[in-house]
Amino acid sequence: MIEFLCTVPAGQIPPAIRGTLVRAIEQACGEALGPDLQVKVDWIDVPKGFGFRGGEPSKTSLVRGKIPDGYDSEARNRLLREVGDAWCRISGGKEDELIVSARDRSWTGAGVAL
Amino acid sequence: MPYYRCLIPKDSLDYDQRRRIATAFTDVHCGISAAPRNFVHVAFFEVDKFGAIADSHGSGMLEFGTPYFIAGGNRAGRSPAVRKEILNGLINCLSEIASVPKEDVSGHISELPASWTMEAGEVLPEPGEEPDC
Repeated sequence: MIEFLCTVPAGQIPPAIRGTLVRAIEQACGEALGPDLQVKVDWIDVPKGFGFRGGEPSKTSLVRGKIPDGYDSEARNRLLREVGDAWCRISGGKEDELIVSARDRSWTGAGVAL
Repeated sequence: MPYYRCLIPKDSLDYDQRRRIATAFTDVHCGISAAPRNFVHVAFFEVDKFGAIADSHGSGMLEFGTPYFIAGGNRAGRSPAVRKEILNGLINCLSEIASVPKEDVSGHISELPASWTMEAGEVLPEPGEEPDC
């Protein structure tokens, strides 16, 4: 199972193009990681005035994925680039307004807490 | 890319407070890490009660029991002491600007290898692999 969570500024990605973006993510996963992998895509809309970048209102979308362990950097980089290219092409957004990540499913994050 | 999600009680912070906190978080992060300011992302999510949120840079859920919670994600490579220094700075800023006791704010910072992220069309370099300017 591959899971992507797309966190987008409200109004930035209209509902009408989200299905096309999901299909593009599915296609990128198939091409970069192999066929027959189930892909799930969820969306979070950040309301206006609730998202910031460098302290200023943000127009940046975050597309964060969890993929099965074991892929090399070539496959991961291909996935990142194909998702990014498709996202910008379909949404009309700028590269500078998009972050794409793909982490191993088992990665724990090595966190600290206070 | 640093990504800080602030879980806050509904209607607790107005726009000016959120903007000031986002700027203060950027100051804290860039003051300790020397990252470019526009790398720092801060988002606020209003919640009804304590609970849990998925770790943006890890695989599990982050449970919290304070009214305000900071769920942070950074690139891997910093020592636990530096990560705690950043987190402590963020907690202090949120507490001060929101005018709430520090005990009402908790947080967590996870890390992700830089090369697992693409920003502005470029896969990020691991620490020490940055190109010379």
